Amino acid sequence: MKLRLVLAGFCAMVLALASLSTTTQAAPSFGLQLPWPAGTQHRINGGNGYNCGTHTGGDYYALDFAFASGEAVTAVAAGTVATKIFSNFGYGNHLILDHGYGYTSLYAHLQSFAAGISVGATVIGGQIVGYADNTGDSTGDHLHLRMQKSGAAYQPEPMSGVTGFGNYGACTANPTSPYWTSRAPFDAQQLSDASGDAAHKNDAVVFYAASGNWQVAYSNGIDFVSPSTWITGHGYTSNRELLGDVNGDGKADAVVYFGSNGSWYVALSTGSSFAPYTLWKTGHRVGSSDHFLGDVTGDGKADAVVFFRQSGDWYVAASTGSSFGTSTRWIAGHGAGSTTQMLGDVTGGTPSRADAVVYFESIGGQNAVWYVARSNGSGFDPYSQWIVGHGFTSDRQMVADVNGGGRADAVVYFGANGSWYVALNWV
Amino acid sequence: MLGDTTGDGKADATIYYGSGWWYVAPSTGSSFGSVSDWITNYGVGS
Repeated sequence: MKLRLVLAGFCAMVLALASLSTTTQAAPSFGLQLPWPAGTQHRINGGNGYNCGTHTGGDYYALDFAFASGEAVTAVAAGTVATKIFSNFGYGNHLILDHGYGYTSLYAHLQSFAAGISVGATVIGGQIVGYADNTGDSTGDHLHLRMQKSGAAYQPEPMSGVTGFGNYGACTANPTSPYWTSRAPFDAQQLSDASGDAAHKNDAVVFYAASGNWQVAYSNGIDFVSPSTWITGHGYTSNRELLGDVNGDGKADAVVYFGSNGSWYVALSTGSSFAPYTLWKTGHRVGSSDHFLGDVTGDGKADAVVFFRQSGDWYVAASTGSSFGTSTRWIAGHGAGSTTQMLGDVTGGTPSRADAVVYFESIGGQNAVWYVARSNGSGFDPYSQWIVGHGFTSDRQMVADVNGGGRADAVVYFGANGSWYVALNWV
Repeated sequence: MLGDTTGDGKADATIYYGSGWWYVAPSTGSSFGSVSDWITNYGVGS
């Protein structure tokens, strides 16, 4: 197998997107999650100009969120603990996470730190790192969140898919802030064939975390049309919202995961709506750090797959068509500490099975390294290196068959200039 | 996002803006082609 690097150059897209972009900063090579447990809400009560606050300098883009004393604070992204300080001054008890490549996040005025949080410890996005309070130079209970890149103020957007937090510069007294719901970064807008049309065109599916409402706009091949609500109240306070054809009828179903007990609820697609949701699985698996739907068994039904970032363990609960079966470990030590994890059929052939792919921004002195563990239908084979040097400092890493070759290709996206690069997967 | 929005068996590149604009650059098999808006004012607040 050889891989050919192709610059998918579409200047028109670069120009069009650049002209529409309101944020000129490049996002870090990971998604950001609002700094509280998934499914729960907080609002802004201060910032630079917000409530006539005075965040300046390296804190220019820092945000104050209303928290009660003792409420949990979570990491905006994976990283390592760079600083942990107890203090009665300035930021008070505070924590700084290093996300790599110059990106840091600071959580200030904390009451205490979560168990296991010590300098050098690794954390995953959404992990509880501490508890809010009013320590240091602070006039009330709140979380002060600051991000920086290479020591300069960095605007932390989007978080949980949301942009527009700040009110930088203009003094606005007592503004009304919406409540923002924390969730994994990329679940709110997705593409999947919910309608199950003959050509398997992917529709545009939107999830509203605040209500648990799902909307679908059909693809007609040249536009997304007729957006409508397909189900209400499905996945409110859930941790992940996913789409996949779990019953093998050719239509993508709406599936949500709750991290508190590892439960999965499914709302099957009828082609024009999602039917009432039902419980398909519990205990798959508390403490896991990423979650997927993909047909790893090759029976035409999407299975529930979870990944543990610290150990690199992957567990699969195979779909029976009406539930997810026993949660079993398919591979250990694949992608521990990796930047991004994905499922896609990079092997090809019949039956089509999803393989486990991981991307490391850096590992072993090399940058942008991809590894794959191929599915054999009942487990993942030992992993092997797939690509090196594709996507360093990119903002997104994805696998999908972009040339119709029957195998997933490796695609990366750079937000700074709207560039997409493809490593085609040739055999 | 990547997904076969055109139904030709090749995944296309899609960008979503929080303002509710969705742009698609269809795959030609060797590049992503001209970008166009596929829907507007859809998904605001999601």
